[in-house]
Amino acid sequence: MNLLVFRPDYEVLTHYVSSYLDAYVVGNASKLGFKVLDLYKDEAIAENFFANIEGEDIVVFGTHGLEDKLFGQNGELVLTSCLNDQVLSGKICFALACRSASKLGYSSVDKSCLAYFGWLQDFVVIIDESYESPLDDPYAGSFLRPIVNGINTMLLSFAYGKRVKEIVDDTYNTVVEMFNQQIEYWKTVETPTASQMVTYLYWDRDHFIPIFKEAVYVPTPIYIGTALKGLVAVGLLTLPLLFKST
Amino acid sequence: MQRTVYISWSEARDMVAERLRQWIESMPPAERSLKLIWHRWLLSPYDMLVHVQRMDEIGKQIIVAELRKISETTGINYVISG
Repeated sequence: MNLLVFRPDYEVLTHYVSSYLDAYVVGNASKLGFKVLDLYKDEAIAENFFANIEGEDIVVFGTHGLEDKLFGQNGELVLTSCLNDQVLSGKICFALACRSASKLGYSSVDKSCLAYFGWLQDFVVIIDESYESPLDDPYAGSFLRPIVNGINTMLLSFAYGKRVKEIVDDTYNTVVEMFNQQIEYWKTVETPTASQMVTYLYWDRDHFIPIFKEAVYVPTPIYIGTALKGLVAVGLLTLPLLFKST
Repeated sequence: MQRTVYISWSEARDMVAERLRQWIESMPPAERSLKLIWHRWLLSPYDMLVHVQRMDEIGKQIIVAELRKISETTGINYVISG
């Protein structure tokens, strides 16, 4: 099981996102048995990404995005829909980034990416700049913990050998459930700031989507007992005759 | 039961701007370092208010986000027309 984590760190959003991925995903993935390639900061560049993407099962991005693009360290363009997104073929991709689900997600799934988790709109976070470490910031944590929990659920489901549809369901439900818990908490706090927290928790929850193709699933085989096989065969052979006689 | 109310962009702007003003005015010192990361921009509550008043791309999205929350919490479904 191979996991690539791509996390540039060069300004406030990437610093927050990369901190949460480092603290909650990278180490946890190793414990689950994943061989983790962590492309961080100056290593989170296109050259390293394309040199290592083959052979990865899951790719997690924590970066800036646009509808059809994902970026690396210092804003370097890495992935563009219909240009080089075929490299996600056969992989599961979680893009913690703005907007990329709306075009890049669909485009990569068209090119056989097994599942693409991302946002249809800008991903928004309220932060408190007075905290030295992003991990101590309770405001940012309300937005980022649901996501790292969702990523860990995705890794766990994959490690259990679940099918793509089950991995998608588990991951999506975890993210939404965790956002709902945060929303319920902030609703109990009667301050205008809490009201703003609720506004953007709804925003991030409602623009998160998984994109996948049912067609890629390996269907569960229908078991037919040996004794019944003959009957089924006779049934199939006689079926056209029944239609003909009516 | 949800009730639908049709409002114009300028009415929506005024409603959301008023909420942001209340937020800014009631903000205790401990919360004055709060910022909103919106895509590549780091916005203070005052910056958010300016975007809303200008009704630029970010401002309109802030308005939509706020109306969505109001709709969830009050059952009044605001539809911006025009």
